[in-house]
Amino acid sequence: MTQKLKTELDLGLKYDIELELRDKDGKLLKKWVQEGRSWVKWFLYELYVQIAQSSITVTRTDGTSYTQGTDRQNFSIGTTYGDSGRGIIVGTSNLAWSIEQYKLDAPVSHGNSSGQLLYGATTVDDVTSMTNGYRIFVTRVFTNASGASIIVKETGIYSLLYAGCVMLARDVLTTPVEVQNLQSLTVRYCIYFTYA
Amino acid sequence: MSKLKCEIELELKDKDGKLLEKRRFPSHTFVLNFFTLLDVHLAYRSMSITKIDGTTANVNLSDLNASQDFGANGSYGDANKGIVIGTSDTPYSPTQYKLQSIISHGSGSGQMFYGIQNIDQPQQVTNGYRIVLSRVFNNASGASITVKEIGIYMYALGVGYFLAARDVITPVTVANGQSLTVRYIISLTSS
Repeated sequence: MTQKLKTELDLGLKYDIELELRDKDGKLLKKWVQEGRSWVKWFLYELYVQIAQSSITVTRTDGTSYTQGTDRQNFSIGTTYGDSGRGIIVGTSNLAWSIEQYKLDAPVSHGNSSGQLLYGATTVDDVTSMTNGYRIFVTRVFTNASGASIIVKETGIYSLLYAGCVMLARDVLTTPVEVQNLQSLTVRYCIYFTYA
Repeated sequence: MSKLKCEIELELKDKDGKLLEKRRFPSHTFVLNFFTLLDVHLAYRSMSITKIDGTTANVNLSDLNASQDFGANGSYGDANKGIVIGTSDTPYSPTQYKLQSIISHGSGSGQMFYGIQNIDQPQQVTNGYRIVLSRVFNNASGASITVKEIGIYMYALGVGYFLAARDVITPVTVANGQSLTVRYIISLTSS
């Protein structure tokens, strides 16, 4: 006898993206949350490498192929001030999401020149409980000192490999956010799982 | 948008390999331990995990062998790593750290043979990709064994073996001479 349940529950890892726009004095101008469920295939690949203790070819954020093996730093996304190659990344493209993507379509780099934002550290908090689940907050603050407005339309998470980085998730913002000169944008991922 | 989900597939076969029953259903999958180890690696910072013996220990990231973290690639007969099965129907809780009544490897009373843990490379499926973890359990104990819980044991350096996932299932009775194949299907699909 073959038995198949018809219902499919989505009980995997999910995340929401919380955004905060502040003026030069730190005053909160706007705050909103966007549901994010845009893991890309490289997240699954990285999970496979570690669970199977094996290796597989991935496409790094620079577009090159790499045979990724197990490494203690796999999944690592915490990073320091100014590192726009790892952690939470923002960009200016609204190109539609695809599971095959390996980088943001138009990432903003770190700096205070035209089209750049200052990248704060990416911080990763300890697990905390929530209603019927647990969550991890990952946060980064982007400050605009470029002299002109920058419109952020995409966010993503880049994770470290032994050599290079791989993208784990990419989201196109439902509402693009204009970060004016001297304003800051806080991007906070709430990664969670629920069990009820 | 993508959807990350986990399903479990069970196949009961007789001694000749003939399929007797097949089920597929959603898994509740993760327990807190797995999520904590994920946090350890996202943050690259040591945290505490509860081992299958109930004691706690910190993940050791200072050693290169921490590359073995998350490993579920158990060999034949290894009931500490990979998919494991048990006989308890104690309800799932995210803070559980072991199967409540694990079946050990062997041919003695209440035991089953644990096959090698297979973990397939990511496969492309409609609108996405999936990973399949599978293991075959053979009953040569001389009597029936009713399986009521399944889970995944993983490894982390400094911790040892820990429970990463647990599900209570509709019981399946494995008669002497029969085998039970358990598959975890982790998929990421566009929606």
